[in-house]
Amino acid sequence: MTNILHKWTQGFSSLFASNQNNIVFEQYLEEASDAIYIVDNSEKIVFANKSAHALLGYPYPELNGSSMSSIVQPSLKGNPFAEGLPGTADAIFQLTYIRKNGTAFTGELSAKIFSEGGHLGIVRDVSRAVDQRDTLVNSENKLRALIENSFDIVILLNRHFIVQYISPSLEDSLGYHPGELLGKPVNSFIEFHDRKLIYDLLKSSGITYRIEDIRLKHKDKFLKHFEINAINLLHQENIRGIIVNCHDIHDRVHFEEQLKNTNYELDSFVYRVSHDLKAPLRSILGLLSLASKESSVETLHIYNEMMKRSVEGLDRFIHELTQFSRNSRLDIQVESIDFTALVREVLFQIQYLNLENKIEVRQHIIQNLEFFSDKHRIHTILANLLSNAYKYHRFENNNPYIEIDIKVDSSGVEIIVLDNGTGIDEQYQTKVFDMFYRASEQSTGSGLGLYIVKSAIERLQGEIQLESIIGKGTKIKVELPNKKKLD
Amino acid sequence: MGAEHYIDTILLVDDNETDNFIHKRVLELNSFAKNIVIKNSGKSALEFLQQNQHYPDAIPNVIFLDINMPIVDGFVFLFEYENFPDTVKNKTKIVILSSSDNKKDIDRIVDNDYVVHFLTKPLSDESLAELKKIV
Repeated sequence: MTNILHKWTQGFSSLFASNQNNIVFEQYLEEASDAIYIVDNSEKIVFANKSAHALLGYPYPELNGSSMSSIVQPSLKGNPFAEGLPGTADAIFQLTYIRKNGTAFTGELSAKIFSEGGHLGIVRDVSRAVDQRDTLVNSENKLRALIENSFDIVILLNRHFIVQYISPSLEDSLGYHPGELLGKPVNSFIEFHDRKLIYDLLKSSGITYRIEDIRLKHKDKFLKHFEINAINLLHQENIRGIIVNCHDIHDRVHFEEQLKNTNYELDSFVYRVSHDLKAPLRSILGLLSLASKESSVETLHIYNEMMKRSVEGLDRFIHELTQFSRNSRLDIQVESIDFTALVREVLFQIQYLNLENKIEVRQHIIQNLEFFSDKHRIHTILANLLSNAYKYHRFENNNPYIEIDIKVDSSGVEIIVLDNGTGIDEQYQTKVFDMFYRASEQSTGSGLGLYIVKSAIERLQGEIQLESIIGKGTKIKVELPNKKKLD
Repeated sequence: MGAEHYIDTILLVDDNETDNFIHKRVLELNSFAKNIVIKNSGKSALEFLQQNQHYPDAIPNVIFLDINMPIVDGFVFLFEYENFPDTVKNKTKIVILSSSDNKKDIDRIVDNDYVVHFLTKPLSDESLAELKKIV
């Protein structure tokens, strides 16, 4: 063994100046705590010290004479032995070594390359360090994946509030490509008034803050609501920045606004209803108190008439409320509808509005197909449209008429109610379908009628169109689908 | 006519005919005003003031104003009233007469500079007596 070693160590002319030194060196190699081996130019291990045997799990001196390939995984990527050691330069490699029992470990090889080929290697087991590094890389990757796949926008700012990093969710949320904002001041996509909010916060509570609702500018110019959390890590060695997390709350804010609106509507509904229920009662109360002071039978008779009108008004309003709640609450009851009979029924019910028959009613009903829908709701729609047509009529220089055109075909029904009455001022035409809106000075109603019509039509998945010219008349067209497929 | 009237002219603004009738009758029985002018919409009341703004005698001392009216309601009326010359505004005191006892309405309308009082329908001898302390 010594001879072989001796033969090979002769190669280190620079290291070993004398024979004396040579012996010292041999002893050193043998006893060194590092694992040392020498490989010749045919990849044969000509020397391996005790530590090398221990490291690789071989009994001493079994390794001597075996091939390099038995201790190094040859096929692994980055293994310099797969392609031969590069040149003659000394080098440090990381290799996967195989122990005698087949297990592997990562070794760091410091190789002294001989000019004749072969090398002297010193190996250290660096598995633990590599494991640690891998864990670090893994956790970094995990963190990155977390940030990059998060729906939140994560931004890293430097001390001048310039964007250093911004996560890709930016594109989905605000439409910008991350590259567009890198190096830009963070203010560039914060709504102008909300910048002031941040500025005030920075002054009062410093760089670490939270804002529950801030508006950021989308690339397409509209604003979106975000909840943001900023953490000051300027003094943290490895970050030196401000981390800002922006959580998209746009949908939440939208729903909250809807809820607020619904609550507001409910509020005004209760308010209006209680007012409209109270008003006729207060009138009756006033009349009763006046009546107690009157003695003339004629006057009392007038009071009675007025009280009757108030009661009737109250009765109508309660009826409308029932229609209203019926429409929103009850399921659709599909049944076959005969429009000729239905129109007759409706006209009979509201005939009190046309007692003197001053208004001519023209009907054109064409129904050759069976039509299925909710009879109650269509009754409500017709009754409201027709009583409006009766109520808002012009008698001066006019022959008032109402035209009812109903046509059933395979696609559904088209109902047109047309009159030559007072018409609706253009500025109120978009409002007439609003709850409680009264578009006429002469209105004595509740302002619920057309709202109920619109809601009922929506429930039946139909459509309504209004055309009106003030002083000329109104045309309302309703289209409703057949609720049963006709073959 | 022996009875002394408390004021010269009152303008009733209400879309409810029955209520206008009641108010007129209560005012008559209490000899509250010599002239009672009735307008059944906010719009026609504004037109009346417009036409009479240069006739001091015709300008009402008191206006009874309803809140819930179609198109020109009490709030719109007050908004437009703001534009009348001082000759009108200095003479006229506005009293809200409504069946609403909703606090929001009362607060909102009492905030108005020209509104001096808020009465709840129906108008009664008692509420008129109360009003006399103010106007």
